[in-house]
Amino acid sequence: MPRTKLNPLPTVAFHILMALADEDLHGYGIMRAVAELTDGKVRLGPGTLYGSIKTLLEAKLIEEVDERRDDELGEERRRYYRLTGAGRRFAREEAERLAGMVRLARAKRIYRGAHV
Amino acid sequence: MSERVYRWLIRLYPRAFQEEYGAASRQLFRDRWNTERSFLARCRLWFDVLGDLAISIPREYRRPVSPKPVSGYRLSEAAVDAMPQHSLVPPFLALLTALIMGWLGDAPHVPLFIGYALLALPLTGGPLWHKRTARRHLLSLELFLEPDRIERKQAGCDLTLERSEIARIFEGAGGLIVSGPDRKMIWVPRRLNRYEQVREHLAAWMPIETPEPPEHALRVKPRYAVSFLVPSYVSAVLVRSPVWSVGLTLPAAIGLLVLSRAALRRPFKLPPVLIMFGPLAVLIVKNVLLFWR
Repeated sequence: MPRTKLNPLPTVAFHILMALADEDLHGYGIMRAVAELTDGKVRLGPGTLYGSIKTLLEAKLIEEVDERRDDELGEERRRYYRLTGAGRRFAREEAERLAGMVRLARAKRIYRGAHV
Repeated sequence: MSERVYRWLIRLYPRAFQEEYGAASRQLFRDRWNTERSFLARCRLWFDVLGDLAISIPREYRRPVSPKPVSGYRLSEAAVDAMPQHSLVPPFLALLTALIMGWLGDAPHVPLFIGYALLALPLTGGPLWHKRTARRHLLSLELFLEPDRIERKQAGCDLTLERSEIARIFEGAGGLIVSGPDRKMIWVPRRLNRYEQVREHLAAWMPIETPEPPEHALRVKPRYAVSFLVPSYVSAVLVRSPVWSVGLTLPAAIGLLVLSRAALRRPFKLPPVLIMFGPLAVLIVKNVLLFWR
């Protein structure tokens, strides 16, 4: 999958990369982490979540680690995903791009929020 | 009921997406269903899911098709380590039985003792050798699923079965067995990554049989059984002198092993008592009769 599809990085994909920045997570774990990171504003449905995961896997920004149980959720085995080195760099570049946009908005007096 | 409806809705996605993420999507839906229990939370869940379907289904149909729709499935090291190990108790019991037979038969002749120990070697050595090589063998296993074929690559034992030539698929405790012509078989271990996905794929080809639980019997390679049992019974009946015993049993064991290697390849089940204690029982009865006479 060419990276051009991810340039600029879609919001959902960026949220997934952020959710995976600290630890390996399975699908439901990613969904919960994204909901927490966005104060419940973004609730990813299965189709959107796995569609984005597929795109990120194809671009090698995340990788599938293994299948294991999550003791909190019962006996079923789940696929876990991990952020790759390329994924971390890509997320950083995207964060810098977004920070640049915020600086621009501040310079134009459109945005008056916290400095970035 | 809700999960059934969602399962049906997943069929609206392209087949490739269903195969790759259908099971995971259902699992995610189930997780939310189990954790979001209030009426309002479940209404919100359905609202999210329907919105998600409306957005993601058209997007998945627009996704360019991957040029090579092949998936590789492997066993991780953790999965191999967690697999049940073959018990070494039966072969060691066999060895013990052989040694007791040697001692009881015309004790305590050294050649006889060595003869029986040699007889027991195929039974003890086989599982030990298997234990040593099994891990490496399992780690090399890789399965590829395509729309109309399944392929196994494993340390030189590559095998491809077309969907049309598959005779049976059955599921046991260890996983799935896909059985083709000429006794060709592909094993899909239960601990394979994405096992459920492989199972769903194969279930679409034909119904998966679930055989009765196995009887309490040992699964033995015929060549080991023949090379151990036949000489053991023969010598148990004939043994009076070490010369006769070793002279008969060793060539018989080697000959039968060579012959049965070519003729009998398929494992079969034998009651443990027949292997462990059969020759010993014959030997004891014979000695009692001799003593009586």
